[in-house]
Amino acid sequence: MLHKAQTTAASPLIEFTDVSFSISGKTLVENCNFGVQKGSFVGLLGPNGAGKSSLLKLLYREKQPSSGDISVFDQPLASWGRKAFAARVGTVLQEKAQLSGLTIEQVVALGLFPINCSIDEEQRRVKQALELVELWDRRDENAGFLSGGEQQRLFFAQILALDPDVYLLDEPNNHLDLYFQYRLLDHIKSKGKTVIASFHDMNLAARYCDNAVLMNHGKIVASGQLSDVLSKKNLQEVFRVDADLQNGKLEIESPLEQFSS
Amino acid sequence: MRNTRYPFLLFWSAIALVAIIIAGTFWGTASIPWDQKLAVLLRQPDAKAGLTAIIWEWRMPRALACAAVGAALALSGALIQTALRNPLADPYLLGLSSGASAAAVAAIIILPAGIVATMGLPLIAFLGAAFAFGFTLLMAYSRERPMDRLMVILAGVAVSLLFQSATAFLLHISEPNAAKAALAWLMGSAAGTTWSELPLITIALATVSLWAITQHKQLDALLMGDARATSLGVAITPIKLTIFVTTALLCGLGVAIMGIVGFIGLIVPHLARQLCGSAHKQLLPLAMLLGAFILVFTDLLCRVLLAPSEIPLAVLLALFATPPFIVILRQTRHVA
Repeated sequence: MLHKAQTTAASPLIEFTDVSFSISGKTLVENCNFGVQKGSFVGLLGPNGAGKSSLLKLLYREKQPSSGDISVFDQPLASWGRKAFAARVGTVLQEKAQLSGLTIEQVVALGLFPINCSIDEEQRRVKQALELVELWDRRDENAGFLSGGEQQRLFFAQILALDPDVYLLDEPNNHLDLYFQYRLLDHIKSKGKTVIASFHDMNLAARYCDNAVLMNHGKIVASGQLSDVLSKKNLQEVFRVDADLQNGKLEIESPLEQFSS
Repeated sequence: MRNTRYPFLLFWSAIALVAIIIAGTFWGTASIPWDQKLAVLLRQPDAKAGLTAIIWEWRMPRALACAAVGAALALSGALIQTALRNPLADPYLLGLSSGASAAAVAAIIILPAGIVATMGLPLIAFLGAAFAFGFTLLMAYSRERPMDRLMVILAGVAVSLLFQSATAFLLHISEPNAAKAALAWLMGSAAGTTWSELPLITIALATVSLWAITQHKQLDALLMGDARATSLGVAITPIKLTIFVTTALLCGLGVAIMGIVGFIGLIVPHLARQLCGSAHKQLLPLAMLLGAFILVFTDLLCRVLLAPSEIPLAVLLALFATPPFIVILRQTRHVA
């Protein structure tokens, strides 16, 4: 991930140029510029309401930017066919879904909607993905009965079955227990694919991210190496905590402002 | 595994539908001796002309129309519950029934009989349904959130209330005889259905069901929510708009043939989901067969229970549908 000013000869896989996004008069993303290089794992960091999810929504095309340009694979985002784009850029969202009446296997197979593959290939991919998230033995169960963490594993299985070129992960560790947080992110990291993931857990971000983008109030505050982005000053100003990132571990001393009763 | 029993479910539902259509054709107020049944069915010269007319011109188109309207309402209900991700959604939710009712009641009460006879009550009701539907979509439309499910539901409720109050006002100011005729229409009846009413709804039903079954993966994706469907490459606004328009068309045609037929569109999709799950490839064919069966069966009971007088469809549908609906709701695990 590089700021535009730092752009090197290799053109970024994903590039945001002066992107803003407003809804009902409220600006959620303001004048964002950044690029993501192929194969990098980029952490999207920031406090609640910083604009991380909105930025991802623009990328997976749930929302359109109010101004500015986004290009993906050297092509303007808007010019991509929906299915062709979804085949190359997969997403795990943070919201829970109502899946009542669909089996676990059916939900994972739905993840292959953007690509045309044979039934044999579909079954092979679904089995492999469900084995990875340890839900294969329960494939005929109603997905509506899964707990929050199990549902999150199911959506990981969806994207792993598809295995796109770019993984967009919106708070991927939501609801997951420790084992699956590390198991699934380790697996994705080992693939060497391009990943943009929003994190609240800075230690997880430190473990996986090559680079980071720090957002606050819809704007990019800092970007680059994680150690630079999570400087003591940025942690104080953006996250309102007195903390230090040392050897990939965030040591938090205290929040800056106490709640008054 | 749920899918292994699906072919049997579909097969037996189809057999049951054929059986109930045959029963609906041969069973009625005028009893037909067994030796005459085959002669009448084959239009043999020795068959009594009166009986041939009853079977061929009266009962058969009526049973087939009930099958078509039942299937259309069940299909519409399943689709609209998916599009709005709301288990209480009903094909009439978009203002269709109240628009059709207001138009038909206005025609019966206000318009001169000659004009009503020339235009035909079905066409007037269809136009009313189409107008109310257009009004609902117009009110629900927002550039930032096109086809937002809550906006569509709320706009549908608002438009329905508006037309219901117009219907109530018209009934209030009308002559007793006109009010009685209007109420009979409002309660729905398959009586007097002719062959000429069948081709249009059959073609529409065949077209919409084929479209829906070919789009089954996109419809399944909609169940996961708009954002997830979008991230999988589903163009949600066009598919939702297609669902709304085709639902309006099917229900408008159904209303034109037999007035307001409630419950089928709401309950049958739930019943089908209990039996085969929510995946549309299985759900839609089964829901259509069950909807067709239930309406033919109910219409048959309406004809024979208090023969020679007929019970309005709405009365028996509510009577039979409500208890199973409550049971289904209490056991329900597969809402839309």
